[in-house]
Amino acid sequence: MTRPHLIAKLILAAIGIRLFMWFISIASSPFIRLETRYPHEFLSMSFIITFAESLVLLAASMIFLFRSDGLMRMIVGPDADRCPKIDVCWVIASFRIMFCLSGLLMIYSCIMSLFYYIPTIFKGPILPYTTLQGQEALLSPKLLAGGFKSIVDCVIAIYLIFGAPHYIRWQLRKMLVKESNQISGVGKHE
Amino acid sequence: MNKNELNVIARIVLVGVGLYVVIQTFLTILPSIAVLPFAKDSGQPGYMIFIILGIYVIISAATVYFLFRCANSISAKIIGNEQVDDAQVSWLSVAFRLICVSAGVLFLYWSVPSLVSSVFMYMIYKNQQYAYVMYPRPDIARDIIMLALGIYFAFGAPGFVRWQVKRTLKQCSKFEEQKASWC
Repeated sequence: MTRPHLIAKLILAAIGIRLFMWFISIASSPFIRLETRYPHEFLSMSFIITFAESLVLLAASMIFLFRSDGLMRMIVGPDADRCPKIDVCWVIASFRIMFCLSGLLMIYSCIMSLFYYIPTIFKGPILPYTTLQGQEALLSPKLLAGGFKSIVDCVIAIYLIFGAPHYIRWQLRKMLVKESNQISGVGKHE
Repeated sequence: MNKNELNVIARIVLVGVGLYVVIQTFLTILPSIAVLPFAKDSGQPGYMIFIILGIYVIISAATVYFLFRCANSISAKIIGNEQVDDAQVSWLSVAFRLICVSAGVLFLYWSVPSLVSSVFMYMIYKNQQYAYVMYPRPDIARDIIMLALGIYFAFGAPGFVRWQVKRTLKQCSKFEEQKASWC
């Protein structure tokens, strides 16, 4: 992997993370809207549109995170292959720095939303427009969806701050297997 | 990567954070100006909106002054003077410190106006029997936590940076061991 390839890959992975967080937020939104007084037709339509939107976002985030080689080559162009190859440790370090920054920026909003939902479950009428308390509040779809979303966001943010080791390992493994295949292919050709 | 290059990168990142703060402040203030004539109908004291807007302006002006005018001295502090034999270790710790300082400045920018306005709200409404009085309590706790985190990160988060560098180097050495089995 050359330096332009690495930069392109990092940018694509960062966009992938953003899209995935967006997917979580869109996918949980219909459940949050359930307790509102909108007409039934509006809610069903909103469910269908949100479902389609979340599928598109999920597919896009998976492409950006796991199948971004084609996009990466398209961005950097053929000239990037002539650049000198970089050490694998730089790849690990760059990915970890990018993930750490993404995690740190995400953790702020996660803590904000956790502080919004946790007191509601224990105290009741802190959440605007809700008079539910205790068990009722716990089982309300709005709170369940909102609370679940903030917990998932928090787990992802912490995983990113830890440097997403499994993702980096998978990415390196893919890169090395590809490079060794290329070398053996050239060897056979010669 | 030599010290000059690291210095330039650190300055670019810090000025980038400063520009983000300016844009974010404009985006926060402009919609609020539109509702200023209706402030007295909102049930809150009329001066409240001016206090919140004032806090935003002061905090963002201080952040921008700090990041634009003192960028040289901050970047010098981020890069540090310690002589590390391994260039990669030095580069890694500078990169992690830089993202910690940037995240810390943003945490402070987000939490300080929120904390000050929560404290004002609490002081104004504490003697009134509104359900509204309930809001500031979790807000204040949350903002204090974010403020503490912001201060820690803005000062370079030394423990966090050491831990990240250690983990990264460990992952690199582990990878070198696994490399043969993967290929």
